[in-house]
Amino acid sequence: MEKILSKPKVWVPVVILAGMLVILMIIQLINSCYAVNALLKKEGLNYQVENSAGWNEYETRNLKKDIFWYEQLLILSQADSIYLAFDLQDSLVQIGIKGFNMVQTKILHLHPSDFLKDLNEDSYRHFTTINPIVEETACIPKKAVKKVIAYSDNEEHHDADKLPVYDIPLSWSFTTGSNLRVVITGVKRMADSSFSLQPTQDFVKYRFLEFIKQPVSKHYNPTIYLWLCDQDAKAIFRAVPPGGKVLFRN
Amino acid sequence: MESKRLVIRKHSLVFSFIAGLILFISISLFLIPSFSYWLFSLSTKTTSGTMPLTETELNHMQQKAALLERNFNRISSPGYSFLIINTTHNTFGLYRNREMIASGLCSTGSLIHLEVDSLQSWMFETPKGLLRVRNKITNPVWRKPDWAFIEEGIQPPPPGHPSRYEKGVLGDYALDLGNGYLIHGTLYQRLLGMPVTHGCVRLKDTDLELVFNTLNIGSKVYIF
Repeated sequence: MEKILSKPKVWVPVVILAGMLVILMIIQLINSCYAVNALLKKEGLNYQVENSAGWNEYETRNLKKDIFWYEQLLILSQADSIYLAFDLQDSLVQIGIKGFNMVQTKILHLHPSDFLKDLNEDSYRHFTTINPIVEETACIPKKAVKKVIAYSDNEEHHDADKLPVYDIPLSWSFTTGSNLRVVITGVKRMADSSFSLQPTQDFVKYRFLEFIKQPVSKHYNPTIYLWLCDQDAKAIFRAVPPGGKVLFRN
Repeated sequence: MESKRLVIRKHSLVFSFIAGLILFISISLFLIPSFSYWLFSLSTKTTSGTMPLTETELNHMQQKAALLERNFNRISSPGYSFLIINTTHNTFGLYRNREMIASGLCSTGSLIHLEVDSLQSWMFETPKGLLRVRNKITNPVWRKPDWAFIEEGIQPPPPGHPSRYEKGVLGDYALDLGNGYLIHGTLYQRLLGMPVTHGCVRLKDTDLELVFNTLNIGSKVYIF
């Protein structure tokens, strides 16, 4: 017995570390409440809003959402620039110009599945209206520009067919003007035309990187994770200009 | 006996620490973000106490939705025939009466930025967006711009110099998209499917002929 007591207490640092983790967890939890409140305050959203007639009925609400969607698309179709539209109800992502869909691709998987679905009318309109992309990051460049100096013996210049090919699946995330965050992952098509979809693995990777970057964040961005065909996702990513307009429907 | 108890105690500590760590990671990675989204949804959730729509109001709304959809479809209709160019994958699709009649490889801008000095530079990029066919040309002659000479490492000749005109390099047809951008043929068929042009769109001879015969002046060309 004396022997045990005289041993260094190994459990002390373990308990201290565990205590620190629990404290960090509590901080994260409390902070997430503040972050959500801060977002709602920033966006000027009133929680206890009285919806207009019919919003609480599923069919009427969908009709109102349809009207809002087409109104927004008609506004976008007046402009000359390429826009990005997320039709979460039909699981489609489209890029269009002047109302014409140049690319339309199926959403292979999304998380969360009820993103923006059951909001009150004010909040729904606020988050699904036309918004610009304010911040974006991706694993490949939007324009793989190669600089060539004239009259110099630059071999690259003559090897145009050796331009860089970005074969890695797309990982693209952006935040809209209404503080929504979209994370798009490209999914490669396999030889048998099926997709090698690993949403859980990708999701863990994203969440882990976000956690490492900022374990306690003061800002909250409602985030949707989308998995799209890599080929289409890359075409969409390259087509949407910086600061391009984005539209949602669910 | 005592040492055995000590080992068990040590192991149970390690085990509980690992379990706690896993719990912490899963809470931090998944449960807290889910909690935030739940809180966000709850705070912006639809509230009760609203009257349902009357039948007349509902009919009016259905008519409005149908009208908007019709209006949008009319605007979004690209017309009789049109061409879509994908500059990321260097492919094209030719449509007539909303049906794809041809598709295949093409070549688009190389994204090479050719710089002579701080005042003179060119970006070889195919413009994105909605363009229209402005002119249709048979047996086009290439009027070589300055960059064509600079690329070859020679000084550009004065405008109108005979060396600026080259026959046969653009194929049998060309469709003018404005601002010097053309859809034309190529001598370098092996490079189709690659981003190698100076901004024009290159097509295979047979595809070019079909595009030339299908599109009219004013036809839409969507490039993304």
